[in-house]
Amino acid sequence: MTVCNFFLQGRCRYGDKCWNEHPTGGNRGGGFGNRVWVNPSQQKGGYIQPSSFSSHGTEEWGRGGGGGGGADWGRGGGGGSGGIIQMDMDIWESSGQWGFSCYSSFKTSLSGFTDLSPEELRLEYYSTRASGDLQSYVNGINQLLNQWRSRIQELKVMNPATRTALVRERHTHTHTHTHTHTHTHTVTVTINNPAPQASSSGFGSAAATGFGFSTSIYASTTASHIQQKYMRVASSHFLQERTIALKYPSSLRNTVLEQMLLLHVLSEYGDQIIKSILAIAPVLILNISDHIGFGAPAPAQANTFSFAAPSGGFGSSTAPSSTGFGTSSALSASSFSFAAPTTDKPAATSGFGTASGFSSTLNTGGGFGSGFGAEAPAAAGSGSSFGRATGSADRALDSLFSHESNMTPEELNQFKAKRFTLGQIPLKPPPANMLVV
Amino acid sequence: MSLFGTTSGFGAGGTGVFGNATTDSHNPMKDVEVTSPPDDSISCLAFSPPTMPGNFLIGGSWANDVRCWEVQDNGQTVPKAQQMHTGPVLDACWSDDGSKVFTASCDKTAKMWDLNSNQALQIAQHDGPIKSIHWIKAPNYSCIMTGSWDKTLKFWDTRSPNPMMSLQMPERCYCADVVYPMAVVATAERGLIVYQLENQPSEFRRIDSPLKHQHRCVAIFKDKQNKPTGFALGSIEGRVAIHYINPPNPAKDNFTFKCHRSNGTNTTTPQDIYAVNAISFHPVHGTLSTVGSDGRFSFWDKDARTKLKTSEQLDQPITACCFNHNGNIFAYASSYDWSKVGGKVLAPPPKKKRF
Repeated sequence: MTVCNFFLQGRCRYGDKCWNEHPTGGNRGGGFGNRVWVNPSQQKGGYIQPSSFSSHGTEEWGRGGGGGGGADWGRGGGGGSGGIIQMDMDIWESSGQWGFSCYSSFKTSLSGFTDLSPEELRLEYYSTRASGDLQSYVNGINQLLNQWRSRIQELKVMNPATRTALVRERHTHTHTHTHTHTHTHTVTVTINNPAPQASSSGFGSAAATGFGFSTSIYASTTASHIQQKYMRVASSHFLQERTIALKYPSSLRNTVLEQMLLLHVLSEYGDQIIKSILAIAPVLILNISDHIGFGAPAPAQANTFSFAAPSGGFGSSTAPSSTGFGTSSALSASSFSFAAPTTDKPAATSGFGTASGFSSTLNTGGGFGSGFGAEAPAAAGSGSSFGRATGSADRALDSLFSHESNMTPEELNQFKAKRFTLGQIPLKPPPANMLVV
Repeated sequence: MSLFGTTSGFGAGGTGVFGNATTDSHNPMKDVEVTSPPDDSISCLAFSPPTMPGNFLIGGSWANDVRCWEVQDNGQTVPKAQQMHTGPVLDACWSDDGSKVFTASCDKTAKMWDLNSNQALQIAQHDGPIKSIHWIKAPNYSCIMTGSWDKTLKFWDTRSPNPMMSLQMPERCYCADVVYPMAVVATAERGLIVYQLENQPSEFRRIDSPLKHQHRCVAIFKDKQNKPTGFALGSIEGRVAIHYINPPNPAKDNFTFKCHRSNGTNTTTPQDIYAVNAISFHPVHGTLSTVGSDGRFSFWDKDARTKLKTSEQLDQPITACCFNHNGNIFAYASSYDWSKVGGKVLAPPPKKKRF
């Protein structure tokens, strides 16, 4: 979370609802003094404010649930929103309520929660009982429970990575956000990759068991929702452990790329963010792979990213991470035509393997997709794929950058200019000779 | 037994008439228990419409059957007939003339049960279990609306094997309600869609859910002019949201309230929170009833925003409820609702309460 400059000056208009961090040692008087003046668009059509319930005491009725018409729910502060989520998680965990439910805060659904109704689980139980394989039901349930518990734990603890992910989700989710602050919400997107093999194989097997017993039930539907649910939880967890780091000591430390990323993130929501992040991500991953030590075996496989419907071909590069994700079918992926960033480093294909895991989350996980602004899960296809990001091991280095001849004059101008102009940021990497390091 | 022709035996042996000499927690309210209850949890209850004389109650269960009882004026129930599906029955409804019952099941089909002849015909087919079924009677058409876990909402003329219309939903249908000309469907992932049914069904509006958790049940309420004006939406988190479609003041008119929680006033110990399993509105007074996994039912007045009454706690969750057409009888079903994800199944009796 970035620190709110206005709050530090004592004049933050949003007060507790501000998306940025208001440090507690900061200028409290100024910050609170302005609470009286509330931006009308930030009005309390707000969701259940904790204070209103405490004042009601025994009364169980409280105001909340802003009108469907379009009352903005109020954005909840940067630190404040974290607090509410943690409270909700506490209550959820301790109250014994149904765990397999989606959860949302401030209008955006948080990823990482599977939404399963008791009837669906009961039907699974009956079917598995009929087929004699109750153990798989039990295993599936335990697995779901563990995922739920770990997700709740994550949200309760709210370490910076989780918070970033949440903030990112929320930013990409708001369509009608009325945030008119002039200071920038910089979203730092960090990828670090701890033990890719371990995590991916864990999910691979986790997801696989899920498939084992759910596909038998909904045999007729290739994309059974329970299967998708397992995928979604797995994939969103996958995401949690990965954040894209822009700071890395590599030859690609490049203000242009960084600016591209940031400007995209700031200026456009929804698919654009995915596209830009993903556009850059494979490049980043490729080039930082040896620094971060992906270390996975590197089969030189191309076409790991053809997201045509039979995605069995997907993820053939690194087996563990892919099996789990590969079986998601019938989810159309809008392929993102990014000029293929490739690499000359052998290790990079493993980067693609894991990067494939990353991109697969977007395609398969409605939950993750929702995090990235593919709002309704029906729009699962809106998660961009890596498109033609191929993983061939021996492309020349200059395939990393475009050729001058491939650039349109506007793009060349953009690269030549000191700063990008919003709306005209090129989607291709600059030619190598234009890089200013 | 003559009203519906042949008497089909109610399976389960030994389920004779339940006397009132049961344990307290089984029927603490001392309501009349229905005779010959199904063998497994009851998923839905529906009373016959006013066009038919008398009160008939149908209940669908996880034992793959739908049963019909006649509820007599003295409160006694008489089992009448039953029909079977090949999978658990998730929802049932009456046609407007009371001659037919439509049932929806996990076997991905919906059937039309003609009570006079005791025949059931399949009228609908989905790719996934059908979670909700409603009869729509419009001036220029009538049809069945089925919502399924295959993310579609289909409308069927009972005479044709193909749907009249099929609407795509963002997620699986979890619950729905119809009061002409409005229909509301609540889906997974907190989806909420309102449809208007005049001329032909079409999507009217998608609403941001006022609730934070999974939707569980929905019921439409009417205004003083008997027009549908909003709905009540219940979630697994012991909360119900009252939402008006076009309120004069959305921020004030729409609200949520907590219900089915263990200790209301004591805020020090963590509450137990239970799912709201069903909501139904009194046809005359407009008060609503909620039943929950905690084994209680409550009556509320949404206009005065007060709770009217809460029952004692039953030993099992209450899974379904409904009022009869004039609001004199309230039926609720006490059976396991899978809220503990485990597999114990007890014999569950629906109960009736007279006002």
